[in-house]
Amino acid sequence: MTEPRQIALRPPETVMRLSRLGSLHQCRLSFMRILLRRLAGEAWRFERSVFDIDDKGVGHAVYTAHGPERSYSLVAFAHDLPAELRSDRVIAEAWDATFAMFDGVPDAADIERLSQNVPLQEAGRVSEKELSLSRANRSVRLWAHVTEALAEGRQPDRGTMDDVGYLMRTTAVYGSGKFGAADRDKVAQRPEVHAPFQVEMMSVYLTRWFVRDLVEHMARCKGGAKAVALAPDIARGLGIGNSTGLGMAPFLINHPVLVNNWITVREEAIRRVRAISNATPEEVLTFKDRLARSEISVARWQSAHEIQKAKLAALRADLDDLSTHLATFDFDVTHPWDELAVWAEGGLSEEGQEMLLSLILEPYGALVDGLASCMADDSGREAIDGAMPVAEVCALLERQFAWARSLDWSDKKTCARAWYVSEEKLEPRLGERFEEPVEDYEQPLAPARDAVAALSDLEGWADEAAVAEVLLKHPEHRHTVRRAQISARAPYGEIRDNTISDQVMPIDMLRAKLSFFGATHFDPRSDRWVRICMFAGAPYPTELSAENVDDWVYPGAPE
Amino acid sequence: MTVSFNEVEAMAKKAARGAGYAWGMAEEAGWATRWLCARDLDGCAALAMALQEINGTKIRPISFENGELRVAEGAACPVHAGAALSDFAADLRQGPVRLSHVAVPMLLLPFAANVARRIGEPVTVRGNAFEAVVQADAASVTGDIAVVSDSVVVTSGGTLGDAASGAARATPTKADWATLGEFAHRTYAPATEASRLKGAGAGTNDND
Repeated sequence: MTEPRQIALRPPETVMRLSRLGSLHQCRLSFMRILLRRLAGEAWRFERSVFDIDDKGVGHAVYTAHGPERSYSLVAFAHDLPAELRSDRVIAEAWDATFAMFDGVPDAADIERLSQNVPLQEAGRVSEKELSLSRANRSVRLWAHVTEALAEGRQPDRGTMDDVGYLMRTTAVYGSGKFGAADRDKVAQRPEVHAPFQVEMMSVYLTRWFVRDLVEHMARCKGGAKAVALAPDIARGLGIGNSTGLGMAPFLINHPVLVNNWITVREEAIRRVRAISNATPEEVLTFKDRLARSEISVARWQSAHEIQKAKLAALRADLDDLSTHLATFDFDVTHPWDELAVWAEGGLSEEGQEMLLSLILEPYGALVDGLASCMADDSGREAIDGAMPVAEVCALLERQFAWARSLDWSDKKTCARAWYVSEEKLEPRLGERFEEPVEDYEQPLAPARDAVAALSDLEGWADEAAVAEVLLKHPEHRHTVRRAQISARAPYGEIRDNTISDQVMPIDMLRAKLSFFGATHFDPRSDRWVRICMFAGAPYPTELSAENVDDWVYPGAPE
Repeated sequence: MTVSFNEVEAMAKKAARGAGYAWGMAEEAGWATRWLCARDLDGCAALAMALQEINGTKIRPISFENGELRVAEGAACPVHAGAALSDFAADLRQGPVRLSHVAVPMLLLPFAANVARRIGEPVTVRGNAFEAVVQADAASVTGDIAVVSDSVVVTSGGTLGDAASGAARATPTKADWATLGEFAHRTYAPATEASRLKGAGAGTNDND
């Protein structure tokens, strides 16, 4: 009936800029939402089998999720942490609570073993029976307020709850074989954890349940018979915070195939929806509902950081503009979603554009949710193809990094920073190359600079020479040649910005990854660490149903 | 102590970098060590020995001519030689590749597996005191492959013997793990108060 409209994927040079990656929002394909859809769809069963915590808040608890084939247990240890030891930094050595995800159901010997190690976090060891290791600290502000209120028999103040959003925030959640845990290979082919970070998301989701139980327990210890439980609707609004530092930034550079798959999947979902020629009234209603509820979420989103404050102001203005535009927008035009997307490119900030693109996916679960199975990296490592001609390697590098050749790499500002790892808990850090003694320890996290250097050497070789010949003479370009060859099958794998310039904002990299987790309310605390909220609004495990699993991330759901 | 393969790879990569490898070559060392451990061959011991061999010396450049990978003097680093073997995989179709004087030839096996995958048939690696047959995902070894070999010949073809059964975890000796750890430590910047505050962007309250 209508003329076909060819909608292309947005090109990497548009999508992979740091400022845009730093403006991404959660969507249907975020890892938390993938997880909860599966748990609800497969009718997973949940139980709290142990809650052995004293009136000081010290002890342990076990929460188990039973799926169709396997079970997974969160083993939680609660501690009485002196205030002066509470820090979200990686260099902390004690926490309010520590956790391990156990593969199956732990027995008494497992719990005993874990009790000797999990509270120590990096200084302990877990085993191949454990899938992740994590910890959390209380939000001092909200924890005190909520325990006091509940102990006195009243509900906590809504405004205070909304201001903070969570009772505890996690810091590191370590998976994939770290500190002795099981390798990713052990579970990668299980359908329930095949998509990225499903174990880690499950760990955080069960942690949220534990935290609710713990705060109610502490209120009962304090208030006795007077104490009340959290009202279900208030509890529902609570998320789990997370405080994330630079450790996440190298991940994006070190996993180009994974990043490519995440971005490609979201872009393909957007492309599919933009290609729809006609929207039904129900689909338009769903979109408008999620948009209206996003406005509530954005209104609650607070940040004290100047950069994020400016971005939030722009986003709020964007939402006003969008609202004005939609007042007269005719959804009966052909390709209405593409029309909206094109309009947004011309008129909204990157925050607003990306929020709109995430929102237009909402009515189309049947069309886009299946893409979740394409987000893992199942490709395995491929050896460098040494027979590839030099000209082809150069072409691949040019395709990703042509923009970087026009930068002046002799200018100190262009390479002002150096990524390094401190011997202190092996924490990744970002230093000033020309002011601190860190260059000798520099990590290979400047692909653009390295690509320009490799191109300069490669161009001295004959076009048809095998790159193997070059690598014999120039082992220093080996990682760059590998990335070039990976980029042939992972076009969205490289960030199209300089990751060591004096202007680089590491939080943009953190935000990109966290948006794929499904985080909301990004609150940068500096240019290199950020707080977020996870699972706010989500049904608790025993409340999960087909009806509430789809739209929980948007506040104000009908009860 | 058992360690995960992820830990092996991360440790081996850092150790190789600490010993002076270029980053891309350190990645090869990490992957190769993991490949060996996953096949129940002691990759950590092999890498620890190889790194001690080159400790403090400049890594010797390798040349490849007429089917021979060689260094001007001394023993070739097996990771660098292996990477070259892998990069020139297609040449094995023309005839054997010879390597003179390789330290710890066990580390060649993962790279021979790359070649096997590339040319679509098994690869035989023969040294003074050992013979190994390698496929893309398996290796069988007879004899002592952990020592320096005066010459190694790599040929296409061969029949896999009793392949080492896969391992679920790595079990490095404490001594080898500590050796790798010492090399890895060279990649860490010393902790300073300035770095602690500035480098990780702290400075605002994180206890609220």
